[in-house]
Amino acid sequence: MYYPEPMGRLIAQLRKLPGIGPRTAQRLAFHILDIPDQEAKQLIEAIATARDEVSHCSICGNLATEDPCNLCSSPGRDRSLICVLQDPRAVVAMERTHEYKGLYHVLGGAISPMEGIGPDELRVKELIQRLQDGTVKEVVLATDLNAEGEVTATYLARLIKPLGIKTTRLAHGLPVGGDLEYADQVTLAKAFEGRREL
Amino acid sequence: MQLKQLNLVNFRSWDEFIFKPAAGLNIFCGGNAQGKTNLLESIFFLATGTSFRTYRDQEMAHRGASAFAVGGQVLAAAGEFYLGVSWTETEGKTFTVNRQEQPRFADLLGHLPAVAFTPEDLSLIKGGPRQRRQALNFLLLQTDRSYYFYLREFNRVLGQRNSHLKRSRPSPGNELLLLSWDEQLTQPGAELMVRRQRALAAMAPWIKEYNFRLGSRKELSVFYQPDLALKPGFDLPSAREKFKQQLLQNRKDEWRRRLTLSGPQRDEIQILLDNQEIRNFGSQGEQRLATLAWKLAEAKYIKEHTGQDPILLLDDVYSELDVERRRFLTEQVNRSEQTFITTAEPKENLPSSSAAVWQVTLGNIERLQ
Repeated sequence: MYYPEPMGRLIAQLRKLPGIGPRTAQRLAFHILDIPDQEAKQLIEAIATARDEVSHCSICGNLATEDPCNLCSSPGRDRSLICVLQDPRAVVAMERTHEYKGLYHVLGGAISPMEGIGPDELRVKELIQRLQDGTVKEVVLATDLNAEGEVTATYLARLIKPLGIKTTRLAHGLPVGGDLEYADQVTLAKAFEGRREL
Repeated sequence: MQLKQLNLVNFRSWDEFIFKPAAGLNIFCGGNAQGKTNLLESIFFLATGTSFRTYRDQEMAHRGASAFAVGGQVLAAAGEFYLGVSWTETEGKTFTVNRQEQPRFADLLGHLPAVAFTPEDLSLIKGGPRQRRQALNFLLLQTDRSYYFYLREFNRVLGQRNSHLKRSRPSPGNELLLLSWDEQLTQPGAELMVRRQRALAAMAPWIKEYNFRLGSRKELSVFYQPDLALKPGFDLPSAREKFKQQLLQNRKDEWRRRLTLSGPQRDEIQILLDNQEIRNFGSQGEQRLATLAWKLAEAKYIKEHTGQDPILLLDDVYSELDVERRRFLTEQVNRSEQTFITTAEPKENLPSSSAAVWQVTLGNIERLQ
């Protein structure tokens, strides 16, 4: 419109990114034009390299530059334990805890019939395949705590339990360090449901 | 609750408007199409973020303006604050408390509790079960923070479950998946049923009482009729268990009709006048009185559950009421902290009270008394 054509195109491309509105797109475009040539080239290169070199691990489905990924091939991980997650971002969050030493399985989403996502659209078959040889003793279902995540967990538990493998679900409840009086009633009710003996 | 000042920007017929209502009863007099109901609507919008006249927010904008705002200085039990609700064509609705923008629009409910009565509310009596469920939902949304969560959760899961029934064929895998959706649906579903039962049990005697006080000689009874065959006084586990059983029983029919066939989305609220269905056997006047009794009971319910006296917004409430009933109603609302009534009646025909009477004429307001 009011911009030179290439600038308009850049703004239009940026707007397609998630969470980017018209104003942010405009700000980013101006910024990209302002930065030194070198920096802009690095950005272009980073995008191209990431797209070329990052793919999914054929075992766990996590983002990887090698196949199998370094988590799956690491000798230090506990092979009797698999943590099932919706997407690679959750793997990063789990890894940051430094608490978990088992393997992962990334589903690539959660069951959502409204969006046409059923078990066949997720990496469910691959998960069941991994459980066949008897190495895995426990599956931790760590899908999101919304309706779709819960249904995915319930469904997987119903599939996995008959294989004689222990299935567990991450506890939900109060945030650590949170004051009881500020917790919303639903969280409090769920935390109460999942109370444990001391 | 009391609204001490109302500010309108680009709302309906006003580009800018400031109005300082009185405490207690405010009566808006004036001919038709002078903007009396628009004033009530603006207060209702400030309280709920919705209109009682339209589903399209855009219609409330002044002459096709791309934004409008309603603000008000509110006196609550805990002190005074400034509440603002605005709509723009591009960003939708947002609200502010003391000029601070609030992150979630759904949190608006409860800041300024209000109960409105408009001629269209007769659909509460005459309409289908959906209208009654909506009225009850709206009341619970204003008084129970968890209800919002459970209702949203329930509707979302119901949509997913119906989608699953529509998109897939009965097979062992799909049965297993349906069973997982059952698990997910029955939990918020049972929460809704228990809360609806509790609210109606509290409301029923009040509705009966208000109907008498408004001059009816007939007994008005209200019952919660959950779609599931539950015994009165049921608790959460029994509601959930019954819901699960019913879903299992309906399997064949559900796969055939590709729809969830039982649950709180099909609840009914039965309203009887002297043991007869009021929607079929009540006269227009009796139905109006019953609606009004329900609304007054809502106000009492809000007061009991939030500790705040809601603002009453009564549109054209005097029409079809005889002199005695007008007096009853005026006495009743005189007890609440603040009430707004619109009427096309001349000032002389109004029941005498200490009310502030305002003349509304095309975008102007003038105090008569």
